[in-house]
Amino acid sequence: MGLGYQKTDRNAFDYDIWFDAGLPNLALRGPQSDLHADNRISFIGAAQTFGRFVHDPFPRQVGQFLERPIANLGFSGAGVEFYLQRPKLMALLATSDTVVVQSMSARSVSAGVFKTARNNGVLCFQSGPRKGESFMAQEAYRLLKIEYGEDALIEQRKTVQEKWVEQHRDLASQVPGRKVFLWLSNEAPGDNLDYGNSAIGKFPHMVSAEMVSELPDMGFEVIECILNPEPVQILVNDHSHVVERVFDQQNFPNRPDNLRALNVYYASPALHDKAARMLCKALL
Amino acid sequence: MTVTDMPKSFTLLIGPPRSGTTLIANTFMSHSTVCGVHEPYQHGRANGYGTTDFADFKADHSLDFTDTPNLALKETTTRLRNVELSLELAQNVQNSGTYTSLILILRCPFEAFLSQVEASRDHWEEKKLTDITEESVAHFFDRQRAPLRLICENARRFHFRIVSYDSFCASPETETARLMALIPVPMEPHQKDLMPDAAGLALPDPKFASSRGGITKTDRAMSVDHLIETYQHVPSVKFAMALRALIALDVKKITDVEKLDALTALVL
Repeated sequence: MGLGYQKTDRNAFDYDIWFDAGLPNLALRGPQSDLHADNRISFIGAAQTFGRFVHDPFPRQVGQFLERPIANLGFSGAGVEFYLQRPKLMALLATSDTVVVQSMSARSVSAGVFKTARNNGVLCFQSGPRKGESFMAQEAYRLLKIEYGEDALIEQRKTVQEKWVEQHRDLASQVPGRKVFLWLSNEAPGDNLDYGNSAIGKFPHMVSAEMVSELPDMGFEVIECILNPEPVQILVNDHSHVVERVFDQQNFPNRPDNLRALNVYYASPALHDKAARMLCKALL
Repeated sequence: MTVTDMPKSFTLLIGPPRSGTTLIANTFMSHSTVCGVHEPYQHGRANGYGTTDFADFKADHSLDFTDTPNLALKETTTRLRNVELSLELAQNVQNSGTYTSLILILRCPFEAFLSQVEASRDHWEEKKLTDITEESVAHFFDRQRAPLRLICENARRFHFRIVSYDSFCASPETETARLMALIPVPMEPHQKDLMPDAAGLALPDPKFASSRGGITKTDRAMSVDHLIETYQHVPSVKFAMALRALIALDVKKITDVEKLDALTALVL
């Protein structure tokens, strides 16, 4: 998870990965913090909460602005089920003053044809001709569309969307403190459901405005943080300050050459800054 | 040099003598992907060894990165020249495009001093520091400042971590995992055994015995208090007291960057 990002991005970003004794094998975004501190704000989410490609992710900014302890519990590719399946993480959330839940993709949901695997955006087919095979989510959904048919794809989307809502309801029921849902995207809710170029749409994949509208009844305050258009982020070596081809030919052979030093997917520093400001305003 | 002649990463582990550098370096170097060199400049000082050209260094130490692609070098601040050479080598490696990092290992300077005295009295052939006097105390702490200043001035050139001997002893597993993540590789289960290498096992110094499958810390709290009370009027002891306070700060309350800033301010 986070170690993978550190390995790929290390010439451009030092994520200061650390491990808590109570959460072995979970690589946490640094700097270190007291995960049990009183009055803390816990943040859960995927790579955006972890803060891939940013030096100062929004959880840390919020902690600094509000002078409150924070726990960054963001993990790459995480969905709500990642937390629900880990009692120690749920215990941390249950004892937090506030929990900020970043919008996580419905692609990270085990339901229907797919089960999440290794928690890094990989899905494993549970039935049909591809049963037992694992692919990155986008490719898995593409194969579903081509080999299982359009109807199967539509049914799969509906199934994971329902499960996504159910998992958020389950999460909310186990978190007694204040709950904030942070929509963090380049698209407004609904606009992300553009399946023209991808079978899963844009981030947060397959999460609709209707799904988000159900969250307040569960106890979530919803904050929509949208930055569109978002400037492309050029990745730079943090010591030499020259452009860094993070996505090199050896490890990313299929990535176009002109995108090797660009972040065109993960939340940019500008989006993190905006999210931090909006959260601070809400949490003050 | 071709790309295959270079390691995937280079990590310099460095700290004052008797600060746990051997324990932590052994743990770091016991990872299956790491090959290590212990104190090349200290051991080679009698012959004037000072190579910082990486091709020569690799040949001198018969390094092969085929199975162990990550290289680690451990050195102490015993001699300022050792620090200069280590940092120069690290810079040369980084200039070649290899990912280069630095781990600064720190320990309460009073405990390090007392450990040095005990080792000199009981284990070393060279009886250099056997008496606790105002002169020996002042000399020991005075000698810390310049190497630490040099490290502080250069650490930001690399990705760096600061680890204290005490925090490592308190949480060897999580601290090892944190340090390995710098390269980054996941910690391997056997690293928890904290085993020294074969050469270390043969030595009488208790620091190797204490790292044989666990850590047995010597409680020097009363001796440290006595040392401070006796010599607090010595200017370099004031420096050591400030250093001690800095090292003792909770790692969850101060980042490594902030700690390095504070250390830099202290040693400048």
